[in-house]
Amino acid sequence: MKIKVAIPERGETEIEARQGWTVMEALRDAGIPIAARCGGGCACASCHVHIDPAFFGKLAPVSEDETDLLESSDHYDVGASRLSCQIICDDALDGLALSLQPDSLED
Amino acid sequence: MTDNVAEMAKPLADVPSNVPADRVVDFDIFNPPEIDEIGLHEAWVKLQQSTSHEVVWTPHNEGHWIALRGKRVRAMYRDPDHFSSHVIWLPKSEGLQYGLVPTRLDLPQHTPFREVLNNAIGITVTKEVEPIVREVAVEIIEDLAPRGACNFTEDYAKQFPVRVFLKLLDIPYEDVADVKKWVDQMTRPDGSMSMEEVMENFFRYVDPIIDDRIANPGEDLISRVVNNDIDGRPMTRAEMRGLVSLLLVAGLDTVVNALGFFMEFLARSASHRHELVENPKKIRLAVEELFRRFPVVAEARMVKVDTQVDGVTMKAGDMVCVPTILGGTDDQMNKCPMQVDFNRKDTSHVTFGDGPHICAGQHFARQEARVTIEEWLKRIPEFEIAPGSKIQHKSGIVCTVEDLPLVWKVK
Repeated sequence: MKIKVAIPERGETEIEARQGWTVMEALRDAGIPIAARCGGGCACASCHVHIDPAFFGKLAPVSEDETDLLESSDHYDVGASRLSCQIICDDALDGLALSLQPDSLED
Repeated sequence: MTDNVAEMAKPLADVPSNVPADRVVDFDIFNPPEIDEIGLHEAWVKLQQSTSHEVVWTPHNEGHWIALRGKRVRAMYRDPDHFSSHVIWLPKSEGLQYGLVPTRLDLPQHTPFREVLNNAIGITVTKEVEPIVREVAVEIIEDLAPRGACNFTEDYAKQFPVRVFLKLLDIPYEDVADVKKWVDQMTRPDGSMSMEEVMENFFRYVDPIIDDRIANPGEDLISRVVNNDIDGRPMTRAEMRGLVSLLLVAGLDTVVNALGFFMEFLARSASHRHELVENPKKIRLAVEELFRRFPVVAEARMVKVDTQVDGVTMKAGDMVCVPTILGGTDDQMNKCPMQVDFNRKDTSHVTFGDGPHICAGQHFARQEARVTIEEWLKRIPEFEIAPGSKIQHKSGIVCTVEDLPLVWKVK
């Protein structure tokens, strides 16, 4: 599936993602500078993305653990924020549009 | 005695022309200086702190670079174009004999195999099997609790992940001791078994099981792994052997060792134990902090093309040790890294590696550690290291605590 990625101060790009992988993994392996400091274990908040409204409701529901982590971000938006390591790529999400958040950029 | 013989048999490599003299260090990853005096992580961190350079070179183990800083380690794991998985073990000559799959594959060959592993042991399966994991933990801990004493590494760490995996792989318990012996000879060899012999042993062991699961596929992990196509063609026997053997190594080492370090720490710190006993919901993120503080892996990558790194030229074919051990413990990555703080914010570590080969079992590992601590503290909230014991750490591609005698009052 395709993912449209907006990166702060860098503009937009489009990447390919494989079924069954997480969005974070797809971003990381495409060389997008996502921090993802815990490696994808839902244990930090540095793979934080804002999901385009057209797709937000299509995602599997957010867990309490994920919400606790997201709430710690200065860029938390309850209607858009997700941890990209918790979103599994699926053809039903083809064209997913998201933007990386400033707290989740690789240093 | 065996260790000394092995040490004497390992000559030092000559310093190649591309290695500046000021980068050369005396560091054997299988026996770092002062490990017995100061402990495993401390011994590695001492190397990290000894220089402002980010990469150094050691003549031990056929000569190889070592990346010292977490940011550099993460970057190398994320850069397979320069740091190939063609050889990931040290010394290189043994690494060439290592036949597990798909750890030696670069992209794009790696991708379909990784998908098989993700489906077999990823987030979804991990959540599904939590009841089994908890059942095994409880069984073992309830058996230990009335004894008032145990050797944690033997009685829990070597039992729990193994028995979980046996249930998941559907292999008999009688085999465990043999398989564990071979695994230990891969990660912390004492010179008695070469990598080639380890691979022969693994493959001779898994072949009949693979035959059985092809003929009679079940719900177990091995069936789920071997009955897959790769890019539309059947998996080869070599690939099946390599994948199944990887699951064995992962199940019988790694988590075992991390648990040893976690419990050694908890045995020494009543205040940390009390934090978790008083608030068990903290255990999930406490486990993340423990994984940060006690990584156990020091595998390697092979330089693919001549590359400039930190002011040195690494030549194609050079080996670089990329220690996850030096990620979370790096003071450039985390403040006061050697302190365990269950309230730490912005935890950063590379304990599970990074990039395309990031540990496929990381979710499983976190769950096993969390469930272990949850169920242990419910039944044995107070415990300490048996007075008079000297705890030994062993370094290698995967590091470990040798023995951990614990004692506690029985109600």
